[in-house]
Amino acid sequence: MREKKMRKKAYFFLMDGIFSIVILTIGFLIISSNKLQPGEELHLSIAAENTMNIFSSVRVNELCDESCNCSIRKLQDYCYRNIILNKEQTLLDTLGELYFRNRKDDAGMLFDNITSEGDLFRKDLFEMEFRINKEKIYPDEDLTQMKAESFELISSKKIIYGYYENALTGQVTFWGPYMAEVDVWRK
Amino acid sequence: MAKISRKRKAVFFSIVSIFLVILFVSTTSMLSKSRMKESEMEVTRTRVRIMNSMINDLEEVYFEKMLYIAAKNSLIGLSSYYADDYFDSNVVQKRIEYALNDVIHEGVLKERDGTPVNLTKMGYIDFNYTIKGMMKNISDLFSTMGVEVKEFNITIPANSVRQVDPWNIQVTADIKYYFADKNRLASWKGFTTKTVNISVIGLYAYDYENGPKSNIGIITGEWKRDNGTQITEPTIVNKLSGSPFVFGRGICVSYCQES
Repeated sequence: MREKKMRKKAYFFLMDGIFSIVILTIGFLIISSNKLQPGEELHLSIAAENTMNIFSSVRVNELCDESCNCSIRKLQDYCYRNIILNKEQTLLDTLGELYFRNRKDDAGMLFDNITSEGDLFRKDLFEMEFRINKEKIYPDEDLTQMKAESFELISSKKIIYGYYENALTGQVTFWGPYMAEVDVWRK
Repeated sequence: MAKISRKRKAVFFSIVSIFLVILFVSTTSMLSKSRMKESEMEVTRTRVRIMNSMINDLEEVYFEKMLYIAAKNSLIGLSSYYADDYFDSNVVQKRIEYALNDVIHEGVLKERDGTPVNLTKMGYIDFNYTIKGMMKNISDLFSTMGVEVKEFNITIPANSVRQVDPWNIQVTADIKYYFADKNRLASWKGFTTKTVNISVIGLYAYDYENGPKSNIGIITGEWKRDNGTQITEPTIVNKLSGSPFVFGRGICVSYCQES
């Protein structure tokens, strides 16, 4: 009778041990599944690299004709106002040249306009920061806190340098090299 | 007897529960270790991917631009140096491709007897935009990302500088590079040939041949192409090579005067 009682107790302890292991395992699995899915990471990576690739491969003269009719509003404005001095360079080089000529605000507005009109990334889902030589060009507002709190952040970098010539005086100016960086993170 | 059996059972259950706890703890720590390794590998993969894209970019876009900038900087310096000495045959001792091959690296022109003439120290060439100067600056940027420039060399082979039209000089160069990650994760080694058309705007032109000395000064977009029935104005490549012969059409300040 006593032995029977003991056996029952043993089963009870064994079942209790197994249940606790099951509960702990489930808890562990729930915590581990809480990390960012690879698919989301891929989206961030694509957004960062797409932005950099488009900026570094599209030239100004591919978006603007001889008479400064451009498919991007801000680019057209800068072309008319002779702010853009070398139409043969890429959009990224143009941003670098504006940075060199101390026109950081113009560079920021151009970056904003191209990413908005070109639908380069979903502003409702992602946040983006663009820097040249570690100086923030885009956006205007301070996102340091938001960036620090983000789970995943993808960065893409490129080295930029270039030149522009004044056809009237024959003066040639070289600039760079600078480091251009784009950080993308989920909101 | 029953007491001993009960004790044995208690010991058995204790051992089983300790074993289960050990199993759980070791599985958890193994999983977290493997996840750490996985994330380390992901960081390495991302780093290599970023570097790959940067090196591809350098090869596809920026080597060409680097060649343009270094060659233009050198041509501006050489033309100004020659002009200051009236394009004298004692000064223009070499064909332009050989002179360009000398100065493109660090701005030092070697005369026929081997005497070096440092055009950067004389203020004709900006050192920052010679190959050595640009590579120094790019190396500094690379080193912040943990990449070392082990080798970077540009060579301009014979007959690879020519005038394609009055406004453009074509330069072809062989580029050899070797970049390596400081952690020895990856390295990038390669050889490529790049051709660029350099606008003559900004170069100094001078009439060194007999005849009217009129086409002197920095070339601007306002200069006019030699369109006469008889070609009178040599090309800039001719002028910079000290050649007395007229090949191809050149450009003049306002119009090219037929003799």
